[in-house]
Amino acid sequence: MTVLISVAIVAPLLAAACSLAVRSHPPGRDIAVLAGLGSAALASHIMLVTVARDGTHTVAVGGWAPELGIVLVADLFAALILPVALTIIFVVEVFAIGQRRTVWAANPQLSGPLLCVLTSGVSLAFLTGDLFTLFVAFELILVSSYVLLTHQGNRSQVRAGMTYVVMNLLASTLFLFGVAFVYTATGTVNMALLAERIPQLETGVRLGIGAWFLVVFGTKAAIFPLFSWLPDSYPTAPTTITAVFAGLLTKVGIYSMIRFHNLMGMEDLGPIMLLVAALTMVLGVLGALAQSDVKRILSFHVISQIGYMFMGLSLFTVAGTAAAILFLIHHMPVKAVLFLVGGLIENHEGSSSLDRSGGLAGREPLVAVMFAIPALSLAGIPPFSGFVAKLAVISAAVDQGGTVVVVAALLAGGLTLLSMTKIWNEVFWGGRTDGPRPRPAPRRGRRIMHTATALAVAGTLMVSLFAGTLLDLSTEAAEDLRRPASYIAAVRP
Amino acid sequence: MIRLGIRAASPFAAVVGCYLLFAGHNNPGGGFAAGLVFGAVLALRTVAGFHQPTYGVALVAAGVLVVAGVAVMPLLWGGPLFDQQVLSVEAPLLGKVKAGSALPFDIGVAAIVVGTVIAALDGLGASEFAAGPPARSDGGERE
Amino acid sequence: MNAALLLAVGGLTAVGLYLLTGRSLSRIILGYSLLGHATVVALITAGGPAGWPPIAGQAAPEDMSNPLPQALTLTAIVISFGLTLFLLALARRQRTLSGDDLVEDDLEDRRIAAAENAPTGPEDPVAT
Repeated sequence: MTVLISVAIVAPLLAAACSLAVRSHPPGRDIAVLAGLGSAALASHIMLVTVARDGTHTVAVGGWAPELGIVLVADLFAALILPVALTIIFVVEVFAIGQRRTVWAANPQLSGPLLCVLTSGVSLAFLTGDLFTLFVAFELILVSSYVLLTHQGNRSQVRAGMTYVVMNLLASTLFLFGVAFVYTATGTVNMALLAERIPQLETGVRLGIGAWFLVVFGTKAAIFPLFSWLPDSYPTAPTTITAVFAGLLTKVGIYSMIRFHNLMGMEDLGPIMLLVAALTMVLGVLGALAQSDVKRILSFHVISQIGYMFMGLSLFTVAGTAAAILFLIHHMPVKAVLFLVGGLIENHEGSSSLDRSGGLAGREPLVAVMFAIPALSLAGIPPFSGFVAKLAVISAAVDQGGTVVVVAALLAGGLTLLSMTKIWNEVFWGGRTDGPRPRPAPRRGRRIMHTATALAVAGTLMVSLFAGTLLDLSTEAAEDLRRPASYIAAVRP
Repeated sequence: MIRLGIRAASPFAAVVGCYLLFAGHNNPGGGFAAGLVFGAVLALRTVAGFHQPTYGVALVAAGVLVVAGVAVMPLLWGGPLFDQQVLSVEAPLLGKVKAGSALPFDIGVAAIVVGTVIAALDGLGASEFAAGPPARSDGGERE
Repeated sequence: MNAALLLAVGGLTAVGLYLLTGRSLSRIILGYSLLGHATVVALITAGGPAGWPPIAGQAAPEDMSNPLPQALTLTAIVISFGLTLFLLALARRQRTLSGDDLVEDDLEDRRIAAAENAPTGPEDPVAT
């Protein structure tokens, strides 16, 4: 088990170093990156099986006690989310290898290794057991994402990257201040010890810490009103990078909130958080309706969907938290696939703008199917995973009597469907528009891109298929989170 | 004048860097501080136009390999992640020499820092300094 | 708690935040550096009363200041060092691309906001 946890974190880093060392040799570079990402993903799947069977496992780095050293904790929550995240990154990298053979590609010398560093940061963020290591993991993720966003250096990317960088730097600084506050108040940064000590603080101090970290993690997760950086920066990056960002980065923020605010017992913040969740859902989807570019529409939907997870968390019940976890598992692959399809549209049409494309369903029926499945899932149409996840969130809210937020969730669901229909009408139906068109990308590498996207679509279908099992596991994980005693006992035996 | 100063100071600064690197185990110092000193030397020499290092990325890669290797090595014999082994040798003249597995770790960190500095200089347009007139006035110095 | 240190944190944060709200990236970089220093001082303050340097063999353990925040501080310094380097490179890139280092508006957002009958999205993401 120690080996599995280490592999999930260190293997991508090693792969990054190896692929940098052989960066002028494309096949070697790709093999190194794929091997690193693949072994991490494999380790995380084995970890899930082991944790589901044997319970939480901890690793004390360097053999230090939790008061002093870094502890890595693989509890069921982490073990559930990690395989989803790492598998997505792996599939996206396969897509990227195909995309590199076309004109829309990212600079391969840097993007592969940086993606590995990002993966390592994601693993660390999910597995860490203390607040400061979480900060380090955030920085690892953000540094690599800053560079991934801007490394091509064209003007719109540098412009958009700047907003992203400044906003996230501010959030990181606030995080660090938060760590200082927490340490002053409790004398530790270990989450298990915090879970013991924070509930004993005065109400004002306790809620102050909770609200502070709500802002910190909320900026990363792009909740209302802290989301302005997201739709600005995501669409400018190359498709593969946007897919990873949209699928994972905001989710790391939500993940941290689910863990932190549940373990620290921040129930008193619930009502405000529910309001924020409703606003996030509705404003995100309204923003999406105003847009006329596939990638921008999808970026606004990221915000709207974050609202659902945040809503599940804000209920502070086992059912609500379980629903948020299930929504996380459903949302990560679906969003990544939609961005990959956005990349395919860009590849086929020469642009992802709605005005410049049309009639793609007739020419590329496969792409149309690969768009339709995740799009319907995102909108919450019955056979797909989105339906199960949304139903879980909404029924958890109904149990708590949150009428307003339920109405907001249903409204956002309807508008999501409307906005997906808009993409469908403009891109897949209708005729090709006249006027000057950018030359579509060459066909080379397209087969790899199609295969990777198809695999990812199959992955989202698997989530739908095993939704029942996943809900059971999520409920179990949520029960652990709502009862911090078990987490504390696992960290300090 | 400044160029002369940089040239005169760089060997001393390099020695200080080495001291920090090896002292880092039980005294103030360590890989990051040493890396910063080395990086500062390289940055000054680059700005002065002596040379234009291009091996930054390779250094970062090597550093990460060493650091990650040291981190996972204890797993091979069942120790915890980042476990430390200390080797102590009686050497003639020097007395007791101690070297822990923290030393290669520090060297790796220093390599990463120096590599980052070099890569950043590259991004900041180190080529402009090297191409500028001062570098050309005394040609034989570039390494 | 040392009042001077707390004042230093407050002052650094105020100046840093003010600089961060500017449009020029060079100001933002300066602001970020100051904020970084503020967090470092805040972390050190969190460690409790000052004592001897926490280095093995130089003082009795009970006379030392708390080493854990210092370790956290070192890590934070390393990270802010790397980020400042990256920001500098980004500012330079922006300068070569557009001739200045100002954070620009989102053109697509402007276009949509200007379009008639379009429901306006969330307000314009300008520089924070």
